[in-house]
Amino acid sequence: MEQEVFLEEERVRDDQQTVVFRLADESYGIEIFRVSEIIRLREITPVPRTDSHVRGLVNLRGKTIPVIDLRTRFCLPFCDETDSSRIIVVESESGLVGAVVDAVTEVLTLTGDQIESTPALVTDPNNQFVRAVARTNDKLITLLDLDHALAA
Amino acid sequence: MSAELDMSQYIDLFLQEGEEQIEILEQELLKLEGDPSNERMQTIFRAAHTLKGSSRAMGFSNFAGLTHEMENVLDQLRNHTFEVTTHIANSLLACIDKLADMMDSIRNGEGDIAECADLVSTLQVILAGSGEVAENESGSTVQAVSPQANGVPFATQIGEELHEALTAAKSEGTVYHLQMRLADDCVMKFVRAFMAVSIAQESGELMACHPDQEALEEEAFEKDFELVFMSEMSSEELDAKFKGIGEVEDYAFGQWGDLGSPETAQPELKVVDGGSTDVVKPTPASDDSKSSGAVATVPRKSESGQTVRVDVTRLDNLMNLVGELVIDRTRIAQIGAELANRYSDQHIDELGETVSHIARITSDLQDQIMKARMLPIETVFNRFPRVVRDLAQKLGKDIKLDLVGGETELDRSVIEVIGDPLLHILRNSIDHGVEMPEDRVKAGKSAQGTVTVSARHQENHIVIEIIDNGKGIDLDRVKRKAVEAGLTTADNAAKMSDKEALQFIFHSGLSTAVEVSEVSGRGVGMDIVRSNIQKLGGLIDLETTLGEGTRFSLRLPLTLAIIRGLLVEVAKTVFVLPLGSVVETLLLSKNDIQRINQREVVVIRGVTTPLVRMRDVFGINAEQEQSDDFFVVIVGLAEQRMGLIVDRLVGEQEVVIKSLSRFCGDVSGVSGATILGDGNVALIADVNGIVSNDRG
Repeated sequence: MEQEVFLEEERVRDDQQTVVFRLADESYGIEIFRVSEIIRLREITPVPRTDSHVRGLVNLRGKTIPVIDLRTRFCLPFCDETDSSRIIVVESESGLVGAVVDAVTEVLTLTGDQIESTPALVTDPNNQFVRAVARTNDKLITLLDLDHALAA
Repeated sequence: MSAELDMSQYIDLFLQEGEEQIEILEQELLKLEGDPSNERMQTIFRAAHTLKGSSRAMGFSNFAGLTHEMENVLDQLRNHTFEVTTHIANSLLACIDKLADMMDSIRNGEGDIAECADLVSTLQVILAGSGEVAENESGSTVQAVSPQANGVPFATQIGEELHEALTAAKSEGTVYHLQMRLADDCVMKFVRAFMAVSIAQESGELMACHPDQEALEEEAFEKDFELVFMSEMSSEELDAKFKGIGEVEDYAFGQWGDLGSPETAQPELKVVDGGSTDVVKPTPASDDSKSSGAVATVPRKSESGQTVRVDVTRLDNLMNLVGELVIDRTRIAQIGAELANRYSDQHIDELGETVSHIARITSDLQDQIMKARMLPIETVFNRFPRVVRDLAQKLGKDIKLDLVGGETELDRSVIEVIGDPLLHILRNSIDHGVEMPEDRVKAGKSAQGTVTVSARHQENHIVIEIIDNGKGIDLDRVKRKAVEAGLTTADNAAKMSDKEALQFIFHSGLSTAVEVSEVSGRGVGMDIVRSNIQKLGGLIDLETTLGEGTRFSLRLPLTLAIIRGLLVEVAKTVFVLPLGSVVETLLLSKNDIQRINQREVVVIRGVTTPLVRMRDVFGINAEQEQSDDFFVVIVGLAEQRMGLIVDRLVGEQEVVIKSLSRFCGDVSGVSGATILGDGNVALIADVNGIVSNDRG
């Protein structure tokens, strides 16, 4: 039992594989073990009378999964889809959910000392989605708390 | 502890089997009152006995304790020490309810927590009343009744158990006997014993063990224990399994009877005589029972060799896979058609033929799997006799329940959800419909009222009717109530047709019962019943004749998995309308639309039909193309008709219903989603919801 706790801490402190994606000019990251797959943008069927950040449903090999728009979710300006737009499919509390992002840039291994808890100054409403901030060479990556970010 | 982990594997099995046995108990008990035959008594006793055995094996002592007391009472009934009275039947039924409750709590992982001391003492009082007081010295609920107290010689008890074992063995496997001695330094005796018990249970059915499983669990034994079980596996296979148990000093294993009795062949095996009826102690008496067992063969289980028990989730998976196949079939057909438009050569023709062949096979496959998922509606009906009996008793009414068409099959997804609505209507009929016996006689009817529940197939639907020959619904009172509740005005009520007035029955906040009873009549219920039925894509209707009775009829789809749908386009998005609710489609011109009360209507063959724009239903603000002609889909809900204005008709297709993700929540007007032939997702419109929302 105790050993398990120890392992848990290890994982947090040690290297974390993170999928890094771009929204507007910012970089965000989510833990790789939460990502089920990354697919190209495809036709999304809108569902009437749902929250504005719910883009609709897509067909994922015979399953219908909901897709949310992270830009809308994070109050970023809307932008048209480009060739690099992707849907990141993740496991959430309510099953598979897709998140539309501008581009998936890389998979990074972040070491424990690169990760800092959120600066106390950041108090904007988006803050509740933020788990931590990682600093790489010249870039800041916002690590998302997926369960909050995707909560309906 | 590892033993607990091991347990969890068996809990599902226990629950499944337990539920079956509880159902048997309940049904047979209900029939027992009218027909106390010995055979029925045996069935009941056996069910209780099985429950006791398996719950004890799982370590649910509360459960086992209660079943044990039930068994005692049942045993006396079986021996005709006393006869079945309403009181006894009620007590036993109450016990069954408690058992079902415990099943639920076990399922929720809470164990068999339930206070059953009062039930146990009721049963003990019944036993005491029989003059054959069970001498439960310590008062412990799991205490076995000593054989002397039962007045039955010990040997016969064993004989009976053995008899069952041997009879069962003839049809289902061989009876094995295991004697095991654990090593002196064995640390966890229980775990080792439990492993042996698990192996026995896994490979077949544990018939008996000594000491009993509770004692094993509490390690209340020296180091020897023995098991008698039945299995279809070979003795070599089993032997190998038992060899795998560690910390064993010595063990003997073989077919029942081969090992001889422990007292003689292996005098060092200490058999503690607990006097428990569960103990199968191999004594010379066993030979007697063996021979008697051969004479009276009573089949224990009616398992036919032609059926296979399949986990429901497997069937669901299979259904999902077929669903995807159906989607792909449509897709391939569509691609094939496009190719045929563009090119023309022999291969394309062959593709076309193959596609139509695949289409045929897929439909057959789909049919077969649908059939495999079908259950007779009996599974729902079986709950009713008990409800009717209890309710009639409570209300002092005399009611006969007729169940017709229990063999009618429908998809288990529908079975799962119609139970409660049906039950509600049934309660309603008993409470409000059927009169008190004296009132019935006064009205010139027989004192006994009849409620008939029937089921039958009609086209692609199942029709369920609940008919009572009670007093019917007083429409004037319904209207009065509706006016009082502010649902309509007195003027409107006066003009209203009977049919329209009846619809108020389904309105929340309206109960016509003079007095609110515990059973029904709080004015909630029928509206929920209706909305539940509509959610299933079904219809509910009722007819009533004052003084003669009421008839509720429900029309439900056979399955919720696949429907035929009409594809329509609204603002460039495709929606599916279930074909079951589509009456016709029309192409209308602007001039056909008229306005009444600021509502758009159209007159079709003399009938004024309200129109609704689909884009308004879904709150779509996109620009509508300017056109003089537009398509209208006329949909129907019972007698209601409504025209839905759509941009375009796309076609007709079989669609596999997928639920909306929890993410989207409950979207009004949408009942689900599906995947079309082009691979895109389309929403399925909830026609019933749209129509009733509009009306409400």
